[in-house]
Amino acid sequence: MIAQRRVCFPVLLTILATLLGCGGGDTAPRDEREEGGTVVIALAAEPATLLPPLVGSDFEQAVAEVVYDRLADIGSALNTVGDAGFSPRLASRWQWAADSMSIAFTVNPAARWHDGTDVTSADVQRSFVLYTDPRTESRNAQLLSNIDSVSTPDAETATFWFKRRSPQQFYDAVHHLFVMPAHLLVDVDLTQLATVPLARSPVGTGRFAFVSWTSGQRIELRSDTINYRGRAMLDRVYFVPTPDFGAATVKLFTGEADFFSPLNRESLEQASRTPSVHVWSYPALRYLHLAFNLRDPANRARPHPVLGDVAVRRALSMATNRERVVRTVYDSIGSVAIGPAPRVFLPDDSLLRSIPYDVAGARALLDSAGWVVSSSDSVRSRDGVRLRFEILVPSVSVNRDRMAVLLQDQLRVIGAEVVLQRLEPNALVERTKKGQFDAWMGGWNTSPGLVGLRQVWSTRAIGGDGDNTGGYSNSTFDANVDTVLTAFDPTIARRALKTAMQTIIDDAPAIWLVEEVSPVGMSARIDPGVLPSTGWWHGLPEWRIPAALRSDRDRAGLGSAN
Amino acid sequence: MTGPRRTRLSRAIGRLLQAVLVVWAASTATFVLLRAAPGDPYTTSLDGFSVPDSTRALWRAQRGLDQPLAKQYALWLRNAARGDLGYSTMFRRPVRDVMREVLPRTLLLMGLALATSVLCGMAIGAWQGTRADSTGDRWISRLSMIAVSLPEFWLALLMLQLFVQGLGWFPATGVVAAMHDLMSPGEQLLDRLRHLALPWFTLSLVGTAWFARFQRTSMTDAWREPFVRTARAKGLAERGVRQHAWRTALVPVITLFGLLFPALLGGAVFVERVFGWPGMGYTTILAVGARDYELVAAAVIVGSAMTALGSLLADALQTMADPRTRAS
Amino acid sequence: MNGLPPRVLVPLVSLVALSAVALAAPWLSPFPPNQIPAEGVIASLAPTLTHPFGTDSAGRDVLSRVLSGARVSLGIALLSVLLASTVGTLYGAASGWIGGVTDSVCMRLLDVLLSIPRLLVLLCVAALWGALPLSGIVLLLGLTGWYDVARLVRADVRTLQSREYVLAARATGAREGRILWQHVLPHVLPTLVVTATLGVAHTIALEAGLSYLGLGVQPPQASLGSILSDGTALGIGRWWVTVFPGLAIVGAVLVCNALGDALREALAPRQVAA
Repeated sequence: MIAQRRVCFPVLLTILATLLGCGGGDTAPRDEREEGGTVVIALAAEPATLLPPLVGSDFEQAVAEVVYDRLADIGSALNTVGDAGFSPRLASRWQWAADSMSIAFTVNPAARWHDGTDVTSADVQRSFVLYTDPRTESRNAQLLSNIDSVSTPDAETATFWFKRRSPQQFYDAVHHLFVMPAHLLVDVDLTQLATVPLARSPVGTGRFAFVSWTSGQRIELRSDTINYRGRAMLDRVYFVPTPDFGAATVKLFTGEADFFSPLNRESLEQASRTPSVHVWSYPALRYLHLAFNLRDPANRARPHPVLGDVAVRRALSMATNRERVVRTVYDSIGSVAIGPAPRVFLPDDSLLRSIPYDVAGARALLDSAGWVVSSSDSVRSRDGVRLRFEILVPSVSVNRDRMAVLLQDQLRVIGAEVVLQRLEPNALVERTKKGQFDAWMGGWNTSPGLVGLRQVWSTRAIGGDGDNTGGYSNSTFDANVDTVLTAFDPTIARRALKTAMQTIIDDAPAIWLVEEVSPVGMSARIDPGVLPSTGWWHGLPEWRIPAALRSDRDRAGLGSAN
Repeated sequence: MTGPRRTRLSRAIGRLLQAVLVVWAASTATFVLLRAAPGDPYTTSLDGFSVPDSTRALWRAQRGLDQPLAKQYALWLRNAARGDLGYSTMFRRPVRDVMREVLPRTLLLMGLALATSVLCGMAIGAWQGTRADSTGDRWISRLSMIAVSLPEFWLALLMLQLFVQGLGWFPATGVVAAMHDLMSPGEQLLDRLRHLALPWFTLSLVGTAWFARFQRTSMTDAWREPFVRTARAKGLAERGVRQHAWRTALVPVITLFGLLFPALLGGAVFVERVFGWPGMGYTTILAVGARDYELVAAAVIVGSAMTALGSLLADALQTMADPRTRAS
Repeated sequence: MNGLPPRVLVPLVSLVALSAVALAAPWLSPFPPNQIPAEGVIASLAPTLTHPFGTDSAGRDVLSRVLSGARVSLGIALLSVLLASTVGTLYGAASGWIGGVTDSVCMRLLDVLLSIPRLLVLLCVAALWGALPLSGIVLLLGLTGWYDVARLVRADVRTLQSREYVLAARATGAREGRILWQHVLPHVLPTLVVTATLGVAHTIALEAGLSYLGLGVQPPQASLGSILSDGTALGIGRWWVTVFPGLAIVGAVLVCNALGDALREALAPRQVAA
C-alpha cells in the first residue's frame, strides 16, 4: 500500500507539470511583423443570419458587412450627391451615361471570392435581384427602388439602369448593396432565402474571410491574405455573443474581450480607471426613440385605441422631460434628439419647433381630448378605455432599460399607466414587424442621405418588407420627403426637409429621445484609426496592434501552420 | 425464480414505468400549458418571420395543427417519445439539435457538483455525527445552516463580483475562451477548468451543506441506535461499529440524493444564468426572453426525464446499499 | 411562550420582528420606494446618512426598496405556502385516510409530480403568460409547492390511523370525516407547521430568484430579487445594490430555516428506525 502511494504521487505530479508546462508563456515566437493580432469582440446578441439582404440589427451588420464589399464606399464627408468623395471598392471604376440614366461599373479584375472564384458582373446582378425581389422581403428593397435593373454587357461590367434622375442615384446604387456570390446562389427559392447555406457560412470579397460559426459561442473571421485590396492588419477576429450587459462589460475590463459597444455611464467611469481599456467615441448616425404603434394590434385597419389619438401622443411627449432623461442616462455622451434624423443631417435644426416639456399643458391637452382621471385611481380613461400601454424594451440594453424606467415614472405623473416588457432583441423585432406592440424603445442607425426618412416613416413603408411598423402615414410628409430625395436644387430640398421634419415632429409618432455619441470600449493596445460614422465595423480592416503591445493572445497560433 | 430476485426485478420494472410516467406527465403538462396560454403561442411561434416556409409546413403537419385536439395530443406524445421536440425559433434549428449541444454542459456541471456535494457533504456530516455536540460540530452546523440559506443566484453574484470583476482571477462567461482551439492541450485543460471553477463551486456549496446536515442527522440517529450499543457491548472494534453505522446512515442519504437532483437542477439554472454557462438552464432563460415556446416546453420535458432517471439511479443505489431492502 | 427553549424562541422572535418591520414598510421607509428624484442628478450613490443603503441606478433609495420588497416577498411567500399547505393537507389526508388503491395511485401521482422540476415549470408559465400580477405569482407558487406537504401529511395520517383514540372514536360510531377532522388532523399540525416554516424559507428564495430573472414581481414594484438584477448591471463598483437586498433575503431565509429546524426538534420527535 505504502509503496504504491509513494510511486503514485510523483507520477501524478510529473503529469500535471507536463500538462501545465506545455505551450504558452514565453514559448510563443516573437512577432515583429507590422500586421498581426487577434481581437475578440463582444456582441450584444447572436446574429440570426449573415446574408446582407436579410441583415437587420447592428450586431448582424458588424459581421456581415465586414465579410462582403460594396461597389464603392462613401467618403468621410458623407456626401450623397453625385459621386463626389466615393472611393472604389469592388468596382475599380465607373462610367456615367451621357443622360445620367445609367451608370456602368467595372468590377475589379483582381477581386476574388474567398473560395477562390473570380468576381463577375453576374454576381452584382444576382445580388441586386436578391435585394429587390419582393419574395425575399429584404428591408433594403425600398432603398433600391429607383433602380430599374442591372444588366451585364460583359463579365466585368455591370450597368445600373435608373428610373429617374436623382441627386442620390449613385449613392443608392452603391451604398445599400453588398455583392454576394452568384455561384453559391444558383436555383435558390427566393421565399426561402434564410435557409441558404450562405446565410450561415458567408463567402465574400472583404478583407476578412469567414472561418467558422459555433452557435452560441463565437464567430471566427480571419484576414484574407490574398485580398485585392490587401489583407487586413489583424490576423483574426472573434465575435462572441454576450447577451448580458454586465458580463460583456466585465469581459472588457478583465481583458477577455477587446471591444464592446455601447458603454453606459458607469462603465465609462470604470473605463477611465482601467488603464487597459481605452474609450473611443464616434458620431454614430443613430437616434433612439420611444416609437408608438398608431394602429390597433388586433386589427391593423383601425387606429390604436389609445395611441392613435394625436392629442395623446403630443401629451405624452409634453410630459416627458427629455433633457433630464438624456442627462441622467447618457450624461455627456448623448444629446436630445430632435426628430427622425441625426442633427448632422439637418442643416436648419434650430428652426424646428420641438414639442416642449410642459406637464400642465399635457394634463390640459388630455382633459380637453376627453381623457379624464377616474375617481378610483390616478389613471385616465375615456369611454371605458384606460390610458394604458406597454413598452417593449430590448433586454440587452441597459441604457434603453433605464430610459424606459424614467419615462414610466414621468408618464405616471400625468395619469398614464405604462407597463414595461423586456424581450430579447430578435423577438422584439419580430413583434414589431407583425405590429403586435403598443410602443417600443429603440432606434435606428440611419444611412447618410436621409433615405431613412422614407424607409422608416413613409406610407409606402407600411407592411410587408417596410420598416414603418407603427403605421405612421402623412401625405404632406411623404411628398416633402420625396422632394428632399429627388430635388436637384439644394434650396428646394432644404425647404422640403424643414417642412417634412416639422410635420413629423408635430404628429409625434414617437418621442424622440437621444442621439448617442456612441462611446466604444476597446483594449488599449488596439489602434483603430478613425471610426467611420457609418458603423465602427467598417474600419475593422484598418485596426492595428503595434508589435510592441501585442499580448499572448495576439501571438497564439503563430507557431502552427496558418 | 427465487423470492428476492423476483421482487428486485419487479421493483426495477416499476421504477422504469415510473420514469416513463414522468415523461408522459411532463409532456401532457406542457401540452396543456401551451394550449391554455393566451395569444395562442403555438401557432404564433410558427408564424415567425425567420421561420422558412418549408419548416413551417413541416412542423404544422407534424403537430397536426388543423386537426382535432385529441389528434394533436397524440401527435405531441408521439413526437416527444421519438425525441422530436419541435423547432426553436431563437436558434432556427430543431430543438433536438439545440438540446444535444446544451444538455451535456448542464450535465457536466450538475454531475461535478453532485459528486462534490456527496463526497464532501458526507465526509463533513459523518465527522460531525461522530463528534456530536462538540464545539466543532456546533460551529459547522451553524455554517451549514447559513450556507443552506444562501440563495444560489446571490452567492453566484457575489462570486462573480468578487472573483471576476474585482480580482479578475476567473473568466466571466462561457465554457471555453474564444481562442480555445489555438491553445495547447495543457492550456485547453486549464482554460476549461478556469471556466468551470466558479459555477462548480457555487453549485456545490449549497449541496454540500445539505448533505452535511442530512448526513449528520442520520449519523447521530444511527449512532444512538440500539444495535450500535449492542455491538459495542459485544466488544466490536470502534472502527467496525463506525462502518456499520455508516451503512445504515447511507440509506436516507441516498434518498436525499434522489430528492436533491431536481433541487440541483433549479440551482443550476440560476448559476448558469449568472456565469453565462451555456447549458440547458441558461438557454431556457434566453428562450423565455425570446418567446421561444417550443424550446421552453422541451426543457420541461427533458428536465423531467433527467430527474426521473436520477431517481432510478438513486433507487438502484439504495437497493445495493441497504442489506434490508436487498433481502426483502 | 415561557416553556419554549431558546432554540425556538430566538428564531421565532426574529421572524416576528422581521415580519413586523416588513409589514410596517410604508411607515418605516424614509422615502417612497419607487420615487425617482424630481430634481438633481439621478445616479446610483454610495450609502450616506440620508440613504443608509445607497441608491440604485434610478436614484431610488435602496433601504426603502428593500423594506418594500421584503414586504412583498414575505407576503407572497406566506400566502403561497398557506395555499400549498391547504392543498397538500387535503390531498395527503384524503389519500392516507382512504388508503388502498386510491392511496397507491395518489402517491404514484405525487411521485410523478415531484419529478417535474418546479423551476422549469415556472419558467414555462412565465414564457407563455408573460408578466403575472401578484395574485398570479402566489397562485403559481402555491399550486406547484404542495407535494412535500401532501407526502408528509399522508404519512402522518396513516400512522395515526391505528392510534387508540381513533379506534375508540370509530367504535362510538362517529363519522369518518369527523374523526379525521377532530382527532387526526390536530396531530398532523406539528408536521404541518414545520413543513410550512421551511416552505416559507424556500419560497422566499425562489420568488427572489424569479424576480431576479425578471419573471416574478414586475417593476416598478420592488422585490428583493428585482433590486438585485439592477445591481448586476451596476457591477462591483456599486456593491450596495447587490449586498443589502441579498443580506435581507439571507436573513429571512435563515430565520425561517432555523425556526423550522428548531420546531422539528421540539414538536415532531424523531422516529427510531424500525
